[in-house]
Amino acid sequence: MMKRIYFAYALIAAIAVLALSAGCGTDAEGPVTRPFHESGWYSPQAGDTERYIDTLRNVSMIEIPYGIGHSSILKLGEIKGVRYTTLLMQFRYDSLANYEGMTVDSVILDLPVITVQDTLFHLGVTFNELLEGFSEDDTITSPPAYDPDPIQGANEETVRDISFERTEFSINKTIVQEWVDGTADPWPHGISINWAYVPDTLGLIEMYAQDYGTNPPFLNVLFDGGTEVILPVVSDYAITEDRITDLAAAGGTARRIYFEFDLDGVPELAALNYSALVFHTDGSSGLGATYGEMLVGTSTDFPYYLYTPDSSDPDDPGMLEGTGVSRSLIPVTIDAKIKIPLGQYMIDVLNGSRVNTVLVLQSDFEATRVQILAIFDTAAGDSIRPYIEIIYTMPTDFQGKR
Amino acid sequence: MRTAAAASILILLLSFGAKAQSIYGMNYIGEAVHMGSSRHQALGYSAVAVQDTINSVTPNPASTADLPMGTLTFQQVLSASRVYFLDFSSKQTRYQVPTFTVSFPIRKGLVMTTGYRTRYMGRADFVYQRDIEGAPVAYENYKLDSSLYILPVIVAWRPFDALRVAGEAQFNFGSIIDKVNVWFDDLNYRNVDSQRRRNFSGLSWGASLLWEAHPRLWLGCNIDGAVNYRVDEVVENTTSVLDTSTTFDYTLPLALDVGFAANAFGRWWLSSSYWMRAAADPAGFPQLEGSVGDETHIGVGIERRASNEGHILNRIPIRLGFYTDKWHLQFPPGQEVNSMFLTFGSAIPLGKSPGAIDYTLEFGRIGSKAENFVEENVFRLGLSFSVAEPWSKRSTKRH
Repeated sequence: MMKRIYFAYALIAAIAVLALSAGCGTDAEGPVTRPFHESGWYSPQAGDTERYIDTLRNVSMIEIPYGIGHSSILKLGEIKGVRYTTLLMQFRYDSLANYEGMTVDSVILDLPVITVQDTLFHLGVTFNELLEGFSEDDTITSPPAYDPDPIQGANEETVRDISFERTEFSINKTIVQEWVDGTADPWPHGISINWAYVPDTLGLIEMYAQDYGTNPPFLNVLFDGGTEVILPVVSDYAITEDRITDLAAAGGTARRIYFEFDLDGVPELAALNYSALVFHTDGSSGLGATYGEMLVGTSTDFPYYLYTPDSSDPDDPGMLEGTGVSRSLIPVTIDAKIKIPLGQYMIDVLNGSRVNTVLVLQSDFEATRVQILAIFDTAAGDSIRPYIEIIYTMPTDFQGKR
Repeated sequence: MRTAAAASILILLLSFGAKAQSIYGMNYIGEAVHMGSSRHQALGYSAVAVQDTINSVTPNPASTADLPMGTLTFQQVLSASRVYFLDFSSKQTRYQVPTFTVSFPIRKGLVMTTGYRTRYMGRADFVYQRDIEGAPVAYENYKLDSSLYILPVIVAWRPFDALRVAGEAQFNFGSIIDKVNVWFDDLNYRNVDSQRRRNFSGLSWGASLLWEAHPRLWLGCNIDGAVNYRVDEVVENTTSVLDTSTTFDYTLPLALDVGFAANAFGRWWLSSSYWMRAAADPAGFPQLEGSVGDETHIGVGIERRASNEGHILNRIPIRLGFYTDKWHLQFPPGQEVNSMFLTFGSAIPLGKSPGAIDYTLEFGRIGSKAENFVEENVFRLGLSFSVAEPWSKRSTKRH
């Protein structure tokens, strides 16, 4: 009985304390503590928090000759300063051996064009037999050697005009007849499709590549009697030429931007709250994806990779590799202010454990996609030029103001 | 005893998440915590000469010599206040960490007591907003967690029927932790933290006396010896090169409590006491040079003691009290901080057991807007819980 009484009393007391506690509540102490704090009676005093802008000592680009072999889309033309000068194609000729003795009626090279920007754009090209092989796995920045005499068409024409409407091109049938008769070998290294001239208006023609999986370019051989043989492309390559004039990081071609800075204005004892590389994108010069890439569902965001290089000398190969600082996605076709937090990297720089004060920005898909991130440079106005932003707090003074 | 201990732990658990004492305690070593159970609280902490045969927590350790059984006492205080400064006001709810002691009669008139008691404490948690151009809103957050406490070992003895004396070894510990934190309303921004932790430790002594000068007049005295604290200070920062550690000494001067209790008439008793501690040298707190003075407490109480017979209202005590404190700190410098409280309390007996639940309501004010700029109107609820059982070896049945 006594135990029950003890416990009942304790429970009543507990409930009373809880009820009072819940009923009374507690406000933020803030303003009513000011007299004690400002007088120094309560002594700890947090250090000031400041925002520091480093306007960057230098912002430049590193150009890295690069080519992309594996791609779902083949392109000819130019977009945002990236010129697609040459297409390389190899065909599968194995099936021709089955048609010995037959007569070739016509030969058509079919290019599966899916889009042309703009729709009125057309491009004069020549088809040339390649004298060297190529591999999609290689970086190819200029066309392999090819026979300068273009492959003729049915009417001995050499310059063909590609447009959205015109995507099938005849090949002189005597060439293929010699393959069938065994008096000549098929083009062992394939063909290249080259610009015949620079058009007055630039645009881009896009077609499926064999990497897309279906509907690749092909040679259509029609024999007398109606037999039709398809010789599909088994390897293809679009060679680019970098004609970008803006400050840009680009994949495929490729370009990287490096930012040099110093932090002389940050006090030695500052503790970092935040740091960021800040720049403004120039949407009119940015390229997220071509229209053809968008049609096949490719993302338009630019995946960036920001790193601090092993060397701060642009001529040193160490500039091309280093320690990652940040990677994420950026929209590149709109004008936007981009802040890339620098996190632990800047903490290390400020506490002296890292001395490198260079950051390099590149496409994280540099080896697989042609994309362009264009930014305004240091000569632009204060509101859009790149800079390093640092927010720091000075040490707490525990001895107070008095 | 086991059930009582469980119930006590329940009360103890309620104190977790405890916040501050008076807002005036957000500095230096904090606010002095008065000794005694809620009975003594109800008497305005004037009970240094009041005999107590129920509570193990008392303002006069010599009184524990009268405990007839093993006794466990918990005391818990809830404080609710409204603080005023200029046009600002803030309501606050706070708890004290409970005081608890347990007493073991070694033989009749010789009792040993140990437990936990807080000397000084202060807690605060406040934040100011910082506006930084081009950045999210930042906040400057301050937290104080200060507690100096004792683990006492007391031996109380009644050499004569009229005299109780006690000696006390006090193992003093505690810490004062100041945390400063600058943070932003944005997870991309890193907090910048600083913390100063001062760990206090020291051994001190106490002595007390309770004398029944006359059946209707009791005199009491308690000397709380000076504490020479060793203070280990460690400062830690987000920028670790700023971290420091150092050691210094801090002396908390001796405190003296004297008083009387007199039987006015019938069951009515009057008690009064005066407690003081000399000004401490604020070593380690240089900002307080010239702002530390003597600390005093004057209390007066009236108690109508419970009767064992008659109506239920006769069986419960009635207690009234008043006390005023002069704080050890002056704010602004040279200006005393005073507090005044009225107290009212009673008790619920625990059946036939000598234990009781004592409760007290306090209403008072600390500081004033006119003199100290900050005024705090305070309501406190005190609860103490004492249970007792004979301290004897249980017999073991053999089958």
